Amino acid sequence: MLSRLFGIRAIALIGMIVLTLLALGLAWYSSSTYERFAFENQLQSNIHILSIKTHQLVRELNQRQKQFSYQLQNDEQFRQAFAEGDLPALSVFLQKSFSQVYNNSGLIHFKTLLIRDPQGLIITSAHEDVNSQYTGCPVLIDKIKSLSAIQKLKPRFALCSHDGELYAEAMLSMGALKPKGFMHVIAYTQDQLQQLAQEIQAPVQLSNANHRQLFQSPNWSNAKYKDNKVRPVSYSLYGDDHAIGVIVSALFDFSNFNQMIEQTSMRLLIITVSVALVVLVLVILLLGLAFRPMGLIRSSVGALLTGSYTPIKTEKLPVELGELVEVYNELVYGMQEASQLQKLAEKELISERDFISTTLDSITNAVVVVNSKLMIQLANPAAERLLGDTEENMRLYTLDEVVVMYSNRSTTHITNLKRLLKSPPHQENVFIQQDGHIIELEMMASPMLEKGSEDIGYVLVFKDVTEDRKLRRKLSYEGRHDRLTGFLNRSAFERKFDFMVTDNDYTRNQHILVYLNLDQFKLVNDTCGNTVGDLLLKQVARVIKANVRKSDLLARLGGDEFGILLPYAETSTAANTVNEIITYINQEGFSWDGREYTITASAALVPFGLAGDDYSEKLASLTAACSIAKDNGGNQYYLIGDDDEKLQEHHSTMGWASGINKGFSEQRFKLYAQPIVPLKQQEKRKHYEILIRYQDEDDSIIRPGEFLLPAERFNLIEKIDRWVVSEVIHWLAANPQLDGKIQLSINLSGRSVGSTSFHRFLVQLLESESVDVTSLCFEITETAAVKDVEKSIEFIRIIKSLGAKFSLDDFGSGLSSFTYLKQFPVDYLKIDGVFIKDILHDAQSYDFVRSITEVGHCLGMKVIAEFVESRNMFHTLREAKVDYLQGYTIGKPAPIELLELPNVLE
Amino acid sequence: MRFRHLGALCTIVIALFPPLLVADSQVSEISGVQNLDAESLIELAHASPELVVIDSRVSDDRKLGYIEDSISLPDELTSCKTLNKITSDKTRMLAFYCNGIKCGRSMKAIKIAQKCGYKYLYWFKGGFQEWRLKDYPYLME
Repeated sequence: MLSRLFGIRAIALIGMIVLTLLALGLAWYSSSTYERFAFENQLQSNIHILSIKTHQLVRELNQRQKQFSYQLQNDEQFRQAFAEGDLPALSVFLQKSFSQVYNNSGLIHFKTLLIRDPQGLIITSAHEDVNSQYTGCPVLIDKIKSLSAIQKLKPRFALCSHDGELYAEAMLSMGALKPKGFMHVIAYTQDQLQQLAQEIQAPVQLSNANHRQLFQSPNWSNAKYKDNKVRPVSYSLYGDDHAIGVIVSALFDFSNFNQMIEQTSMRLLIITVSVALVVLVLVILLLGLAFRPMGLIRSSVGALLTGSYTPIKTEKLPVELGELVEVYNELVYGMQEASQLQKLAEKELISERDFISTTLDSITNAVVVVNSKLMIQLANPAAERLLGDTEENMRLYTLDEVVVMYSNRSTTHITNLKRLLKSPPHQENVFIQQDGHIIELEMMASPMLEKGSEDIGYVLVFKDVTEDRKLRRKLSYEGRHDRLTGFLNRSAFERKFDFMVTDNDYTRNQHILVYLNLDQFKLVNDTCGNTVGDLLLKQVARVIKANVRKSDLLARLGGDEFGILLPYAETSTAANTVNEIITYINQEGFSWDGREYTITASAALVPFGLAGDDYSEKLASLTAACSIAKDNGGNQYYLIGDDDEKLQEHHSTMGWASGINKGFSEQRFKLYAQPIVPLKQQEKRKHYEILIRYQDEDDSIIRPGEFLLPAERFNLIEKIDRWVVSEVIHWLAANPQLDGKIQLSINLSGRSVGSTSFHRFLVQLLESESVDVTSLCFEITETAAVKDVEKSIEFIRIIKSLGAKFSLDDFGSGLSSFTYLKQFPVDYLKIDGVFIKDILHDAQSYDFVRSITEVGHCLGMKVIAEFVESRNMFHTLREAKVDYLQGYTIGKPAPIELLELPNVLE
Repeated sequence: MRFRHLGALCTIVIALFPPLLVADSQVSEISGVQNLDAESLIELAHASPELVVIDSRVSDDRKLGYIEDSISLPDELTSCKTLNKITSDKTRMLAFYCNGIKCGRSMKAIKIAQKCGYKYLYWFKGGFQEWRLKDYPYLME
């Protein structure tokens, strides 16, 4: 309490002053007490001195008395006189003693000498003063009488007063073993008392028990009684019988002593005061020293508050305080560090806050933070835009007051928003209405947790996904649908198929898969362009849609290919449906730019529904089946049965896809040559048609009839053509000895003829290799040539310009008009084998061959008849004026390498 | 236990051999001789006037003081003959003294007296020292 009011320093100071005063009081008290005690003590010691001196003097006197007695007794004469009872002699002895002893020593002054018998009765006596008849203290004499024999032997002394005088009396035994009597010696004490006064340097006075003065020093009256300087000191001296008392008094001078005492106590006082003052000063200094770091710390703390961290210098401080200050300094350093860290942290915090707020501002998603009561705490600009209010306003409301949320597109109101938020972080789709529009939002809600407590709030991130979803739905639709027809696309269709198959695992319901393909789409597309082709496809799609059930699934599988899934359909009804579609497509036709196009379609259908059914397998079967339908003239459908032989065969073509590629990599293709022989005369060059064979793994030779169709289907035909052409040219280049002796015809597919890249390839090849191009002839089929007449003509012209010849193969089968023929600048015309085969039996065939030959000749072409299988034909063909023959009868195809043999060409 | 036995053993040894512990010079008793102190000497002198007190000291010592009525016979001179001079009566009581406890003269004289056949011998062992200390009267030569 006090320390709070005044401070430790003031209290310590006051305490020290009080202590100093107390010390002073104590010093004063003790010095006065000391004075008193010292005085008392001095008094007592004076009494002691007095008593000791008195006793000493008395004893000395007594000893002298004793010695005197023993000396006298030593005298043989005296002993004899005593023994004989010679009183006069004894008296002489005694009288003689007075003067003798007195004169000799001057130390003993006898008053009376007496000889007594053992009972104490006087035998004889001697007096100094003859007038005086004093015979000693009766007390002493009475005492002797009462003593035992042994005690009587010992000397007895007494101080007795008589007639104003003090006497020292001694009763001394005469005889050693037996008391024969006593020598009674009475002596004056005046000399001794004067000696006492001398020795103690003070006047002496003597009085008896009745205070009757016995002796007084001559200077007694001069003694002063004042200021305690001179004081009488008395001592009572008792005799051996403890009865007779003599009071010895002395006047002691205390002035010196008092002075000394006063000096001493003054010194004590001075010492005490100076010690107290020194202690006071020391305490003040120490306090100052002890409180110095406090002052330093106070000013340092003051500095701390203003932000300046100044540690206190410890060099000038005492060790202990230095330690304290060091501890303080550590605190300062710590605070400095902490403050720096704090500043840094604040800076970081500010920058982080700025960063966060900038981040929040720039986030396009709406971020809303609500507390546990859903009161809005924070809303970024995106949220302000979304919710149509400022953050400041929104802070006054809860989230559900600001916006009404729906859980779906309809108006299912989210009533318990809190429960929705309480679950762990999750995404939720919500809808809100704004200006009459429904906005679809993706709400990401995360509860904010504080350790071990309830949710303290929630962070809600709203992403406006309205457009996104719209786009996605659209994309999804487009991903699944064909844009042109609105039908499903290939993959979506496949998924539907798979779904139906898996869905159908137990029910074993039958569904029908239909594949439909236009027969003339390429023609329309090529002649009228893609846009028109698209129109045609749209039209077909409309027809298909109009003729199927609503539940049936329609797809465009690519190009002019359509797929139809008829769930839960009977085969017959499905076939009817397909038939109707085909019929309507044909009926509708297609017209463009005033021209009418006949449109037909081929289709195939297959039932399915078993779990193991594979879409691609089924589709492959269908395409194969559709090909068959097409091969059969198109405008029809093919229903795939359970065990379809036709189809099986067709399936084998599928295997060729890999077989052909294998043929290239494993060099399985072989070139064969079949001679073409002129009918009339021998020519300079021998003609051969180059044929391709496939050498199977078991070394059996496979004819091209098996693999060329698949090759065409799998777009490998051009590759085969390229291989054949380059192989033949290399072979020619390798055999220059055959130059001018041989002409080789190479078959080119329609695909190659129509391919500009093939044209470039062939031209490059012919120009690069140093071969005789004139020994090459290219055969193209009529159908291939008419596919794109202009392109074919251009191709023929280019190649022909390089020196090669051309032959139109299989002429007649295409039934193309002769006008085409006129346009093609070919050198040879090869009549389709179909006509040659029947030439012997069929007049029509003969006419046909003959008329073609004529036309050919008219156009400057030479005509070749193939498939010549018997010698009988020779004549007929000669009649028909055919120029060349080719066939098994003429010569079988043989490996081209045989031509290298020297005799073959002979 | 062992120490206790040791203590007991020591006690037995001391009991059996007392002379071992007493120095020859400090013999306090002589067999057949009665010890006296100053008072018993005085009492004896009172009771038996025939008592002869013999001072066994040399004469120089007597100058410092002697008991009155004691006969000076230094121990060196003590013999049956000298004793016989003092008294031939062997039944006479004789008391001997010398300077004090440390003085062996009186003892020596007593032993001689014993040998000489004196029957009633007394030893004032404290001697003149005790006498003077007790403040009994004395004479000086």
